[in-house]
Amino acid sequence: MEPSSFVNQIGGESFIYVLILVFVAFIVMNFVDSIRKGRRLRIEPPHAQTELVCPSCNLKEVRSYREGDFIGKVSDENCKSCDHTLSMKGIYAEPKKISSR
Amino acid sequence: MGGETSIFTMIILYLPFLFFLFYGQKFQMQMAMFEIRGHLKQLNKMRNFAKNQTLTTLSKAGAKIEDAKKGLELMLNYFTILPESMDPAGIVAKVEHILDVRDDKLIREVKTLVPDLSDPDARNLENLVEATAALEQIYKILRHFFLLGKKTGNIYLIIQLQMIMSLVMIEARAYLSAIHAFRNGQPIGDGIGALVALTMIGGAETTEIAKETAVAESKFEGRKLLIVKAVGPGGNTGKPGEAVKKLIEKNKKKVKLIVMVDGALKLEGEDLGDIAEGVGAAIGGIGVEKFKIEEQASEYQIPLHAIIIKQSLADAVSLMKKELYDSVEEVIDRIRRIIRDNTKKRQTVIIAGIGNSIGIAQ
Ligand SMILES: [Zn+2]
Repeated sequence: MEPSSFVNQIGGESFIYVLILVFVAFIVMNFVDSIRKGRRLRIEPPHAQTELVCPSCNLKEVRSYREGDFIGKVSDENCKSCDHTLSMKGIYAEPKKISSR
Repeated sequence: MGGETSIFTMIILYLPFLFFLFYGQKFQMQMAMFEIRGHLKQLNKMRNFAKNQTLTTLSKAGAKIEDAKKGLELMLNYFTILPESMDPAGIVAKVEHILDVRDDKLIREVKTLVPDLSDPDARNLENLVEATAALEQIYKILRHFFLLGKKTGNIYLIIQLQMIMSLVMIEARAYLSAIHAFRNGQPIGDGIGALVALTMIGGAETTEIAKETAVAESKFEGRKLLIVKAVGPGGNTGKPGEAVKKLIEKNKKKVKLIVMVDGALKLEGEDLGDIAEGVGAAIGGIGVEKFKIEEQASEYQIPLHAIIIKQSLADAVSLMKKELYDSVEEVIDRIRRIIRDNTKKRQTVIIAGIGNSIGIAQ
């Protein structure tokens, strides 16, 4: 096929059909995208952690948050090295891992 | 191919052109309405989720489900009429009074539903209801403008709605993430000021100086520190303005510096937990407490310094992020430097940790 005849074919009626096809595809993609956006609703809670500190030897311990924890509360857990009662120094969200997305 | 393409091709070529010429605006409006409808659906899901969570929390605490439903409906539609500002003299006291009444009413409503609830739990539940009410309001207002635009066929109304929609959704998502924290009574980003205050108090004895506001005395390099924070671990912001006023009256002429610590909204692109220093009363809200602090500071000519910790709205109302928690030590270092630079030994400094004390005791 000579290049000039190819250009002629594209330049003719088929060009208009391609144009219409692209236009329709664009609209469909747009609709699908906005529908998907409407469904996406992330409502999982972040993972909370509690930081405990021993007032006598300053040993730090981080564990998962338990119901009833609050900052400043004296915990009923004991220090692993000196057996002193621990107090809660911080409660925060687990830092996000860098995701590949 | 040749001559016979003419008419058919011409029609196909010109039809879209004519369509967009005459119906372009209608088409654009339909597209915008389609997008807004999707967002509204999502907002509806959010508010239903929030309502369900609040109802579950209420019934878990001991309320009957029927009563809880009725009570929640009442609280969600509870409105506040702010005083007339045509003659603004003395308006601060009026605003304060109205807000106090509202606060008491909501707490009492929660306690009617769950009579044997402890104060902190009642506070947390009230905060949960407020976050739910925020989502309810956002949904109702947007739906109002959407339906109004649809009814009147007003494209400009619809387009304006489409323009602000993405910003409104950010706000709505923030309130949605607040639901978890308020439900569990976990500290939120806004509580960073209270956390700094608690860390500085470091186990010293506290007394309640104003409604839901505690003060503790501490020493630093020969200066007396009076540290103010809202009473926790129930979720409330206390009355730091009232507390500062009383402390200044009690320690006349000795208070030489006020340092305020608060979370502040960051600009997009700024880092979470960035610290900035400045002057003035760093406190949000409707302005009653801010007014009181400014009034006292100017009357006694006390320098007013501020430290803010930057965060987005979503960070401020949801479970405290690690970055914010990690900023506490540096904030305290900066407070100490400000105290050293601005006061001498035997002088008194007031440090006010502003913010919601949910999940943060004293
Ligand atoms: Zn220990």
